[in-house]
Amino acid sequence: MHEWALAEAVLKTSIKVAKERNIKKLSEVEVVLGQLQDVDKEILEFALENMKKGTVADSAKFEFIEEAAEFKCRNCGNVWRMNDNPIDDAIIKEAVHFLPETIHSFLRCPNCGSADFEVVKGRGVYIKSVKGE
Amino acid sequence: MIDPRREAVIERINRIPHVIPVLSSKGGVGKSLTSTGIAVLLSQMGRKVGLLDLDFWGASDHIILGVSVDEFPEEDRGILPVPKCGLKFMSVAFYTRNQPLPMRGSEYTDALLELMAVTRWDDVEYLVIDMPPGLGDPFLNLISFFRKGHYVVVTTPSPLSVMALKNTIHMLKEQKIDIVGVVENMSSQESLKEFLDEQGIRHLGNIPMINDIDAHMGDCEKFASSEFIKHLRRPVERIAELIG
Repeated sequence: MHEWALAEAVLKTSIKVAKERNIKKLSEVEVVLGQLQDVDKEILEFALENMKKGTVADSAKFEFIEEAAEFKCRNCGNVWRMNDNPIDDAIIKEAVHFLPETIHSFLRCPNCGSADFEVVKGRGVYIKSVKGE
Repeated sequence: MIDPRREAVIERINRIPHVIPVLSSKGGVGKSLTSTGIAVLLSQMGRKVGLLDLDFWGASDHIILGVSVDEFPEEDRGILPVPKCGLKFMSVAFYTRNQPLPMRGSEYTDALLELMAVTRWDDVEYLVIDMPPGLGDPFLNLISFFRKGHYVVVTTPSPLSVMALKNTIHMLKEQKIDIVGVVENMSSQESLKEFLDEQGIRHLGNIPMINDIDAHMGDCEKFASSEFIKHLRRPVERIAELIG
């Protein structure tokens, strides 16, 4: 599962931020999960719980915040949400799961048909906050 | 917001002993053939090689090697590059399924970070990178992430390409990037030797115009036996000698 690679990235970055901020023990890490990438939260959480052992994040709680995907067309200005036009095709879902930017290969603005749109919210995995002492 | 991928990318890059970006600010000079050829030849020399097609807007290395993009690469705690022709191969084409990928520069950067963050090159010793043309976001990302790379510049002897070559060398030198040398493609002689000597840049060799190259694409053995590969062998031997 490539969620393990994403978990590794989240953990290593959290540890790096802790070091930069002189945090000896991480207590909480807020992780945003964008709807577009459709990451499996359970696998990500399982991977983080496994990998954090023996690190500064050993007792940290990973909080997950799900963010709905929203798009804005650069051609006509139309704003729409992924929930308005869910992706049904399993292959496209899988491609976007691995590489969210491939959405530009498969999705068009529902108003003008342009492929030039911005993913305003809910693209992928980000760290919102890192707390500790 | 903190992007967790940058840290992962830096760590994955640092694990690869030799990175060889192949570039030119001019399109159509043969970057894809040259980078794919360098990867195939290094692999024939017994090295553990990866080939990464970063030309997201015009991915074509899979066509040269005859790699099917009908299946996604395998997953195992990341994404595993696809084994082909004795090397490990990764391309955006596996995910676009040969559909066009219209993206702005910032989106290119996001796609690059994502692909680099999750691709497991593992035991690869030499990672050859096929770059898109130009000095925009892809180039700027490249010199930012791969500062320790051994860069190979491809050109043709045409004055149109030479101008682009001059600009590419200028930018790489300014950023104190190691230029291994220049491959002069579609040229029956080393016509840029003097120009490159003046620039203090190695001329790795020339490759003449190969008229039947299209007939050697889509199959590892055919490509490996092409005149193009025959002429690229000496430049690649020199690259291997120079970077170890």
